[in-house]
Amino acid sequence: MDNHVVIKAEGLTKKFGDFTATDHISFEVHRGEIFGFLGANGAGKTTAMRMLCGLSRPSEGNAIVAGFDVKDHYEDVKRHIGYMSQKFSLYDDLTVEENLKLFGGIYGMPRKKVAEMITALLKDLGFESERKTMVRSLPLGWKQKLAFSLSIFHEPQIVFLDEPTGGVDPVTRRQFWELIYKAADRGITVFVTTHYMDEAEYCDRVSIMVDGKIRALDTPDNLKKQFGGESMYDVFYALARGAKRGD
Amino acid sequence: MKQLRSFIKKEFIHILRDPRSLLILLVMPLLLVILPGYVIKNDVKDIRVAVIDRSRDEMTSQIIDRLASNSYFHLTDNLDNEEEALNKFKNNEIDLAVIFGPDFADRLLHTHDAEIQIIADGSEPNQATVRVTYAQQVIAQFQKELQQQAGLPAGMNIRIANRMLYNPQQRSEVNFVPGIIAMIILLICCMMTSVAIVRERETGTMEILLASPLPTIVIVLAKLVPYLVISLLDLAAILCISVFLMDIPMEGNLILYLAVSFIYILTALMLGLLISTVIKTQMTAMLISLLLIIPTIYLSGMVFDIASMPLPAQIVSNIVPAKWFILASRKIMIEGVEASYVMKELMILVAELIVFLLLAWKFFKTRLE
Amino acid sequence: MKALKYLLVKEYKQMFRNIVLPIVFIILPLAMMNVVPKVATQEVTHLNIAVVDQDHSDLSRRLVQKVSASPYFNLYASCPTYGVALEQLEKGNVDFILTIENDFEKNLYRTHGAEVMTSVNAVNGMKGGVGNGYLTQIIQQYAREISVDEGIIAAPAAEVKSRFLFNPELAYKPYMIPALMAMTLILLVGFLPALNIVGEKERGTIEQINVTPVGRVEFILSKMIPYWSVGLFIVAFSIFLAWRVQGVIPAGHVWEIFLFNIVYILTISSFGLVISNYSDNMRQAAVVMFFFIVIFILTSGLISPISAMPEWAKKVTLLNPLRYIITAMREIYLKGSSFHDLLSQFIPLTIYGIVMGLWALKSYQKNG
Repeated sequence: MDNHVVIKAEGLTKKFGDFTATDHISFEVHRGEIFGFLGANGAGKTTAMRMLCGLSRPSEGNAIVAGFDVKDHYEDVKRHIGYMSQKFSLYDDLTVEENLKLFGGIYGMPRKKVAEMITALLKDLGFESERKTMVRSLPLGWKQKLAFSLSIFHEPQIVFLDEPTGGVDPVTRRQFWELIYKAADRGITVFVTTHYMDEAEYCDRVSIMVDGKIRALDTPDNLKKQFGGESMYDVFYALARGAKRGD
Repeated sequence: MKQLRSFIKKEFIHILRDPRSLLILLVMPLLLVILPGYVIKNDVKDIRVAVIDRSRDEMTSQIIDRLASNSYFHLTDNLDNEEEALNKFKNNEIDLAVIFGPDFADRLLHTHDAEIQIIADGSEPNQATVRVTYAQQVIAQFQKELQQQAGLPAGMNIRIANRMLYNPQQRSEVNFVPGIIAMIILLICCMMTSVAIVRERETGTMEILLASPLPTIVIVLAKLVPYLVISLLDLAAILCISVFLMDIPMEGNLILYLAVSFIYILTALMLGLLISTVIKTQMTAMLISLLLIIPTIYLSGMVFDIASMPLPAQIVSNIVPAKWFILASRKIMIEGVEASYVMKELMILVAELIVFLLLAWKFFKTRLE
Repeated sequence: MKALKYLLVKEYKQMFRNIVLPIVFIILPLAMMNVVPKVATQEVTHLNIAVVDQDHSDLSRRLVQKVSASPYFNLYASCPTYGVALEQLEKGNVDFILTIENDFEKNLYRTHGAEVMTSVNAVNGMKGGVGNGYLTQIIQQYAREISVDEGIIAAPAAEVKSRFLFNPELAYKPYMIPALMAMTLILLVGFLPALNIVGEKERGTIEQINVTPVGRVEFILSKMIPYWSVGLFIVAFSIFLAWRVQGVIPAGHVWEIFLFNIVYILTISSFGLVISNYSDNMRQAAVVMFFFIVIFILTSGLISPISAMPEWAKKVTLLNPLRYIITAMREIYLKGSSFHDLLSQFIPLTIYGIVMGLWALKSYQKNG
């Protein structure tokens, strides 16, 4: 396998009964890349992402993530990835520090290192005063930032972000993307789904899914040229207009 | 009105989307009506009895034969000493041991001081008492016949004419069904309703509903309607099975019974609403409902007789709505009494309904402010 | 197995941060050991009876006296007619009516035979049946007594003595308390695990765990161990309460109680986790678990003895974990049976526990 390729999907398919949520998709993601995964609601983005994370078993096809295939060695995949789900999924009856310690412990990081990293992380985020705050009482934007920091806390090769900025204000979104860039600079590959077309512009490469299939995959600039649009919005609209599925 | 209808429809959709729960809510009551008839029994039968015979004579073998041929008894062993019997008791292999003293026949006929001892496993007191009584009866009958054979006069005899009123076969299910109905209704109206409302608040969708132009009370009541319907469906199903399949009597007025049940359902719904206004999480709502259902099982007279409870428990039992519902149900269904006989029960249920409603309303308002 | 420690810290913190749970852990055993044994009694005593004595003779009055002197009956009213007494019964004031015929005394002296009538409210069949048994005994005893007094018959030649082992006072408490401990446990360490995993599913937190390399065994153990410890605390607390408050102490060894309960808690908490793993939401899990708890309690011998059930129902009880623990707990408390005597309960319960534990493990899907 090419050393630069950290995700390689081949004919990845998920069927629920006679409904094919993800239909034979194939693509590659390179190391250190910010890879945008676009699609309307119900296009099959989340299903595809859950297969890549080893949360869901492919019905057909396979994918190699961080050097392991997701069909049979999904537990090995999990050691090298981070994941932030669409729905906020930290323990809201634990404090900020307790959540970080828990996941640090689960990944088998040494206790001392975890303590140091927590201090550094909280300082970085400007969260020092919230160390012992119950997660449930944090504002949404802070929760999202915390969830992202947690998903890369164990220094994974790849982080999967499922609509990470849903429901937060533009300022926080901006700050959030700064965090994403920082992570990418550290060499973490970022695989992100989003609804926001302006966010798609921030990505190195973008794929657009329609009805379970990948219809376009290239850099934002190339896509705009290819589909003759001014912005990613035009590209997206041109492709998604023909969608049969959706809300 | 159109909005109200759509609210109610939404609640139904929530419930119908979860066929597993719905199935259980509809099947469980039926199982609970049918099962107790078979498993809640206090019949004493198949009494396992061991014999220790220190005489081994004509008389003891006659008594042993009588025990062995009696359909209630099942002769297991002939043991040598009490030690062996004790082991059998501990291993739960016998229920009774009958011990004949030495020189039994001789002492029975001449010195009149023959010894028989019955040892019973007293773990379960009622069963133990009845088992011993049965064994005593067999022996007494033997002695009586012996005296008659000897030409001795029979004693004075008091014949007992016995009437078992309302439930001549003493079937446990007759007593149990009204209680089962009370519990099912409480489960649906109290647990399901409170959890449904708390869940809506936990996920934040309650806010959206409250922001609609409909009055709050209407929104809340709309949430209660589906559970009212399920309760009524269950009630109908239980009644059909009870009356047609299980042969539970419906001696009194069906309309009167339905009216009482309806009031009880409303009381239970209000209790569920009250819980949901005070409690914040689904888990807590479930625990609180569970903690309400347990005392109901014990204190409502559903399984255990209230009259044999200590006085404080009897006093506390008065606040349990199910107690009044069960009392009224038994009177109407089984004894077939007139409406005037259940007025007290009905009035108390209505009073509790109003108290729960007012409390729920008060807490609800303070929450909103 | 390193992650297990962290997962356990999390479970315990969550358990004790819930305001209601720790209170319930204390309140429920308190109620089950202090209040319920007084309430959940099938002791039939102080039954209210109305007497209709139409004879007003010496012999009839002596019979009435016999009845009211018995610990089983409480003479509620003397009624002039059967109709008046029946009204008392319909109102629920009395459950028994004893009617003595007009020429009771005369008939007894003349023909050595007279008649009485007992009417019983048999809605509660058990109470009616046992009470009627007592009444019959009193009347027969009385007939024999007057026969001997009048010199008609000699005293019986063989006196039957009876003795009750294990529970000589025939009290219900020591019979119910061991069973109530088992019931307390299933309500807490059976019901709560059923809500646990599905609760994480509903909140979405389980996704964040599933995407980590944490092992299945570790995860399920982290769910089970807290309930184990809480369950054993409840066992110890209940034994203590039964002893201090009710004066009920086990005739057998305390270690036997703990050994049985360790296996029992494994069984019911795994059962709860299995239901949790298969459920879509908390409400569904609660309804399903409640269903099983009710069925288990009905067929466990808690309310009525298994020996009185029909054969098929006895076979069904073999599938009920409560049946084994309740039988074993009663034998330990009342009879002091040795562990060897209890193997017939221990082996099936252990098999049940292992099967449930493995099923809980298997049904937890990290990768659907």
